[in-house]
Amino acid sequence: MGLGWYFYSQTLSPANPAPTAVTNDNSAQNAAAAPSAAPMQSTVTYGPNGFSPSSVTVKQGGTVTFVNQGSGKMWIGADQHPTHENYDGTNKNQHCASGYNGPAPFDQCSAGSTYSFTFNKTGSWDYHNHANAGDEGTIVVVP
Amino acid sequence: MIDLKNAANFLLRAGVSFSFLYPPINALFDPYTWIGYFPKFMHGIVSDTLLLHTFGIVEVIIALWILSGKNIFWPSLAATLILLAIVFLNLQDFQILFRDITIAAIAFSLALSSYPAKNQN
Repeated sequence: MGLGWYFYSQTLSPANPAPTAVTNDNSAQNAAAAPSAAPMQSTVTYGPNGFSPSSVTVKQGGTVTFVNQGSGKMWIGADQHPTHENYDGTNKNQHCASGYNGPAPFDQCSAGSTYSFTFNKTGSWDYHNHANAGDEGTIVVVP
Repeated sequence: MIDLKNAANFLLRAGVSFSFLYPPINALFDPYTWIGYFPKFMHGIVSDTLLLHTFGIVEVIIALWILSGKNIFWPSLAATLILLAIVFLNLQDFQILFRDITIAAIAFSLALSSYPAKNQN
């Protein structure tokens, strides 16, 4: 009911604001970032409460290892569920296909107990468990 | 002569039905995509596969019932509630799921238009 009233009330407004484009502009961030002492290795565990820690920072070229310590399935994938496009622009059906020869995707491409990925692109990369998409985390990659 | 009102109603029912038929069919080939939408509290009660395909059967029943056009108040209302639940339990994926609000509105419209006559007035 409340939702219905919200959207109804929007129709009464003289003009709805234009949708704001969602961007992941890392170029400005790259230009402003200075070399850091972030680690080259980090481990994220996955269990009943999701990912821990939910946000980690690694240096560009660093590797993050995800370890499933729970009973649920784990399939790491870059946001957005279910297409996993946000890291490199290719979707799951493209970069998980046999014969794909592009850059390594930030996508486990199947359920498994451990997964390691080396981040060569700076930025803030959100990810989720493809088998339980409500569980999310973020990898921040700095120069 | 085509009855435009009936044709329009059929298209609305076909649209809602398609949105309930595609997921269980695609889930046969790409189950994790759909398992991922179940909220955390539904995982672990039964196997994810059983949960997915049982829900899929429910979706097929709702889809075919709505498509039939016979007494579709309850399946349309169920479709509305399921779609809204999917959206609100997966708000992190709203960029993908926002269209479900539209389909839910169509389903609710079908429910209203098929509200049992004896309850009206």
